[in-house]
Amino acid sequence: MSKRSIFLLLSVALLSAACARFKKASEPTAAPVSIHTPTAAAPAPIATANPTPDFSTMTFVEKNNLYLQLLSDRQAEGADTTAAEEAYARSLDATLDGNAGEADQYLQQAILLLWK
Amino acid sequence: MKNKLSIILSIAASLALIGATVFAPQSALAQSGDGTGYLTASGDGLAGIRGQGNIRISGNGVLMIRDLAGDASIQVTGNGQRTVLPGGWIRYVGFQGEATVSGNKVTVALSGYDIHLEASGSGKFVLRGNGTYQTGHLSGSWTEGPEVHLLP
Repeated sequence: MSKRSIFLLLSVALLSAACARFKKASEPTAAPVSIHTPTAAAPAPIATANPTPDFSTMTFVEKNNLYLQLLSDRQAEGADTTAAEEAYARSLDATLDGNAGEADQYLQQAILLLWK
Repeated sequence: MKNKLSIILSIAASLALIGATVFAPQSALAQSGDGTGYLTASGDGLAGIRGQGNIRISGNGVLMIRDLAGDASIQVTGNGQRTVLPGGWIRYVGFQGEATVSGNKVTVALSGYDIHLEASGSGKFVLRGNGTYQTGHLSGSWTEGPEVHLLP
């Protein structure tokens, strides 16, 4: 085989390789796979918590009644309600001081301390 | 010249007197007199009173009593689970009955329904919810917000 033939073969080989690479680069790539694909080992979904009450739509009587009901329920369950009752006492003091914002804030805090 | 100075001083004194009267805190005006007022109230929600005198309250709910002076006479009849809370509060949960409290610096509140309150003395009270009240000089309804009224 002459040097010329070897040179021609090498040129054809290089050209073929270049064409193959160019073709591969021009093909559309697959969409990325979502990383959220569930697997068998994935943890069980967390149970959603009971949504807290929307205080902005409640009157004082509604909030007060909710507190009284929750207090009764938690005490029937034997739960310690001291923190909630302290918050309610602070709400009462703020009420008698005429501090509406603080009174409502402490009342809502008392409810949330009893909320499940 | 001396007369003018006297007139100016008189006017200034008068203005100061008028200003002090007009801008004085309302409580100072409301608490003038013999210092004893009377209150009766009935309704649902929260009835609270703080001050000195005699208080009788009945109804259903949570009763709270605090004696800051340490000289109060407290009598409670009926049902309810009694607990002493931090801050000097005595509270009755599941209260259904009547309480009579006398003292120089007491706070009494009942939160619930079918509340009836009678008080004589001086201090301030708040009535939130639905109901009516009468004092010696005014009457009205319980309110949504914490409106503080003075007694007398």
